[in-house]
Amino acid sequence: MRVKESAASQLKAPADPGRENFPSPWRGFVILGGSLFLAEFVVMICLPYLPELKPWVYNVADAALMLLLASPAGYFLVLRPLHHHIRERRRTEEELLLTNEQLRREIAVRRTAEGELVEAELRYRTVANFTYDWEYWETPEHALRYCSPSCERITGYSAPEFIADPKLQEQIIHPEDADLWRDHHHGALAAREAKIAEFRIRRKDGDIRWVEHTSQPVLGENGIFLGVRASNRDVTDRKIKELQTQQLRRELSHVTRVTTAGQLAASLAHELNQPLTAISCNAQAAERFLAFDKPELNEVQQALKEIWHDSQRAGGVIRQLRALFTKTSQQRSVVNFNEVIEGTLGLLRSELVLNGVSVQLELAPELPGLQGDRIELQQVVLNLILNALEAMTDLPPHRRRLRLCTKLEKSMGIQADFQDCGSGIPPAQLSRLFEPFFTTKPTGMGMGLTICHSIIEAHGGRLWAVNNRDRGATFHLMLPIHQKETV
Amino acid sequence: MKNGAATVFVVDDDASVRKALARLIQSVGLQTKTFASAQELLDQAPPEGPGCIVLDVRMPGLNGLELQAELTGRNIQTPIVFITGHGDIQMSVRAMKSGAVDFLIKPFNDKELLGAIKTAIEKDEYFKAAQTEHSEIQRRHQTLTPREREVLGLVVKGRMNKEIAAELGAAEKTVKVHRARVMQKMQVQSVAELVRAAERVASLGS
Repeated sequence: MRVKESAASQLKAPADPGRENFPSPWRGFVILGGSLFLAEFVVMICLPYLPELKPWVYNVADAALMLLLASPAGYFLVLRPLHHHIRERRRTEEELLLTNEQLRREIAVRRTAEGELVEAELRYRTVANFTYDWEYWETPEHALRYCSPSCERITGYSAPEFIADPKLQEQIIHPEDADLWRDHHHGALAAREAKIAEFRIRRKDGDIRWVEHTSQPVLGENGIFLGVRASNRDVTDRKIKELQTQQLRRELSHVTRVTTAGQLAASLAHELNQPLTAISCNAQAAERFLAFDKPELNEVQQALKEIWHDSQRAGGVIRQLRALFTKTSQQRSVVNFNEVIEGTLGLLRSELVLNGVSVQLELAPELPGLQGDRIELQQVVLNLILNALEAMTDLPPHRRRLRLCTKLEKSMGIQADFQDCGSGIPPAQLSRLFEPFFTTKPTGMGMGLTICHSIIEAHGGRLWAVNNRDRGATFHLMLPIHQKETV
Repeated sequence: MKNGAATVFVVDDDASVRKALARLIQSVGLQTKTFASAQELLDQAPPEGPGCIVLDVRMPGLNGLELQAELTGRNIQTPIVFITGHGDIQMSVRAMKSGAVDFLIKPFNDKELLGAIKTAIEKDEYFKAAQTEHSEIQRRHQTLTPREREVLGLVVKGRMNKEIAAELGAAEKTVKVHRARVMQKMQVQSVAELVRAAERVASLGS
């Protein structure tokens, strides 16, 4: 064995034994068995250093390759071939580089994700905090999980005030709308679907505002109920306009009702006259039967029974008549549309007889009630029937037939048809029928059908007309059974 | 009220008015028959005994005035008391011109209605009596021979027996016999009575 570089210059005098004094190895190539190796050398002075070599040696196999070269001066030359070490180290280095790269990439990904999270958080927060409407999220335990700052604009109360006092929100609802709110709230929770309600709130400064409230359940993964998300929009301006429009419509419909009542005065007087005549006859007959030597008590009893019956009938006419003259209340009630038709026919009986019109009545049995204004709906029915009568005045009386029918349309609601057999509506006029002041009658004001249309629309329904295939026209009317909750 | 055997026919489409009218009319001892429409009344055979019709003007189908015209057309002379809920002058004038007894506006009081019914029944009784008398005179008239009718015609014209004899080319004695037979057959006591009977025969269009 031959050392390529001179090792002599590397030889140092040993210092004190100890790790710190372990000599620095030096490297050089050695030729061993005809092969060139890179090796490390350590020159040691004395044996006491030997144990220190232990960690320097890789393993037993390496140690076997070690050559201890002893010199006469007591130096050891320890040689460690590095071929294995180099490979190992290269591999380790490569792995390290790889791992490092991977780490760097992971860090980059994580940084991006973090950045995105921050960005998303910022974005959602901005969206939430800068919503124009008052948004909140109520937990199933009725605590506010989120309340948008816009609540202050609408209610005068700040978001922290709402969050601090979960009852505040219910407290600011107008007392008259409290029931509506409760129904809505429970309804929305029970139905687990989005619902809309309109109600009034009292602001912190005492002002009253109209709010359109939409709430929908928040459902987490697997459909877990996480509370209610609600959106409150200040609709005061719209509501005021709406109420003004409604008010105008009410006044107008009242005026036309009174006009109609005026036109019907003779018929109505007759309708009232009939029971009065019967009452008067029965009363006078009863008096005579009582004055008999042997009073005819059976007859008297029967007469009294009929007097009561006819007074009820007269009362009914008066009620219907009063309904035509009163301004409608804003209260809606559950209305059976069949009853509306029957009541109106009762009022028009005399008018129908005078005009020689025969009525074919096909009312659906067990029609569900709908939310509506009975008086206004009656006005629509009255107008449509009177229109039909007028459309048939050119016909000889025995051919004047009016068909009224109601039916339940599953998804849409209640449909009513008013079918006459007059001369129909000229196609050019069909589209203009409901325009205000559009009339084909010399004395018409052109408001009747317009008001009918607006009344039906106010009930969330539809009114339209078509010409029949054979003769005359039919007015169709569709009224929904379920409507948006409003006051 | 005296017209006990009379029947009042009540025609009104309103059931309660119809029943109440019937009750009121029954309370004075009259019989009633009620009808819900003009057609129902027409479907019934014309009344035999005295009576009247209480008729609502406004009814579905044939109205009161149309029924009146139809009855007149069928030569049914039962007097009619109209009742109506409307003070329609035109209508009432038409009804009265067509021979209605009265035209009452609902609600009326019992005296008005019962008074009108009484008048109507009396009118019917009078009319029916007159009709009976007419047919009797007619019957008697038909028993006369052609010669007797010629004599009757000239007696009614106020001719003396001598004049009649001259006109017919018969003996005055023969005319006297004819005249006596005419008086006997017509069941009259005087020339004045004979003249009245002859007028009735003429008015019946024979």
